[in-house]
Amino acid sequence: MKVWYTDEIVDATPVISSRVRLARNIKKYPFLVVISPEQSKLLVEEVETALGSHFTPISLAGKNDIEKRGMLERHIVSPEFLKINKPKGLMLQSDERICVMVNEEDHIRIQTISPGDGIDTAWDTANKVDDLLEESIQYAFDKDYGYLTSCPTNAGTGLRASFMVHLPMTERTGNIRGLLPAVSKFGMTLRGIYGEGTEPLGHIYQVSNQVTLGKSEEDIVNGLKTITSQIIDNENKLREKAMSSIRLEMEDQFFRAYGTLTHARKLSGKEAMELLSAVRLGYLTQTLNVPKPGKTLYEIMMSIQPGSLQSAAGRELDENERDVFRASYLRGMFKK
Amino acid sequence: MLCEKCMKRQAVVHMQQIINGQVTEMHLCTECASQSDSPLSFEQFLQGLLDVFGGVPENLSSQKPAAKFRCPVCGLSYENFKRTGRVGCAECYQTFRREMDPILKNIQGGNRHEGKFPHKAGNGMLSRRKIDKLKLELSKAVEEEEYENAARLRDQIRELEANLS
Repeated sequence: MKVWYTDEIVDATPVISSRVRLARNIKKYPFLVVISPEQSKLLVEEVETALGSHFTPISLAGKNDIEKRGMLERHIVSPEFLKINKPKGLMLQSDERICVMVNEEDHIRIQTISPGDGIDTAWDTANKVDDLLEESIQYAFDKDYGYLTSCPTNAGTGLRASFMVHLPMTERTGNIRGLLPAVSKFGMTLRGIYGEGTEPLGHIYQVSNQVTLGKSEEDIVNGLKTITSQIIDNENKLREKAMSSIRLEMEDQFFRAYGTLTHARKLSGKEAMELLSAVRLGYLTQTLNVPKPGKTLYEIMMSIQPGSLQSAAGRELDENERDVFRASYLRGMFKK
Repeated sequence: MLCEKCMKRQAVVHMQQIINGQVTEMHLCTECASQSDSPLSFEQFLQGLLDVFGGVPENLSSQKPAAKFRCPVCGLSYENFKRTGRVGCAECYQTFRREMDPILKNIQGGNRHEGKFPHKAGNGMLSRRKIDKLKLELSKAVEEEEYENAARLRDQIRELEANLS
């Protein structure tokens, strides 16, 4: 399959992608806070063997900080994973839809991503990888607490299911403020693009479950779907309303954003994300009738983050250089 | 929305605290939220819960000092768990069960796993689930005074429980 973010479906609706993470630990090894470097090595080997030829192990040792940051920006690894300085492993499939982190906060973190509204596929895939691992690994499991995790807040299913959603109208109208308390009542949470504690860039948010114990995986996924579909319905209504009441102003914004992206000489990450968000909305409403860039907008959004940008430049860039390089990259993207 | 603390940066961490029915909200930026005196770090949040719901009862800790609160398998102390919010091994869930159970009930949807289980845990898990289901049916039958049905359910439960042990 093609790499998830190159699928045009990521730009087709407010739902960019669907993600599932399963946290698992192996019974015989101590958890992260206690595990020794020697045990960590054995752990990595054991998981690599269990996954066999289905995955390619990626060596982190050969990667510099820029490349690692790029992997973070492409949602391959978590910020926590990069911080851990014990032997760790990373297994990835070439379409970047499945990745397994070994010795993250938990021994095993299975992560699956599907473009657009593909949460069922993501869950199904993660479930299969879990079954494959279980064939040769004995998980830490308790009949009451389910899969045991390093942090008790993940125990039970060890499942975090999430949708990445683009909510420009919900944010602009201030509706977003009421959303967080509302979703938290249902055991869900809303956060920025790169997870916990990150700022929402380009009006992109992650909706995910918080509760992992006392509910089945299916119930968690279905609950998330229900909540997200309401968030999306609301976003769609706000957009339709704006497109009928202030159409000209909306169009003006889309074309101005496009104009800036195609001509600016310096763009900060924040500004570029705002402009790309406006252009995404312009295409979505079919009012921005200019040719689409050669890549999906979400791929472009990831490509202009500091790590990916410096990887593309092939060297370290200071903030000023990055803004110049970013503007030039974006001009190239939209002129093709 | 601006951060309530520094009033400079955008607030991205939003927290609702309910104490004795009194709801307080806080909206902070990442920097302020991560500062140590903020009540928002996960560790402190969990620590607070441990103090409120579990904690080490004083009479108990005086009878059996700290040793009781160290995991016999990995050696992690209760204090350490409380500070970091992370357990050291699978056995810690047994060691700190009494402290952890009410917290899990509070922060999670419940304190009993309802989801997938390893095939190796096998039939035992299936029977347990079935017993749970039958017990619910039993209390409903008793409530509705369907005593014949209740007796049948009771026998089924007994049989399953006998097989389990």
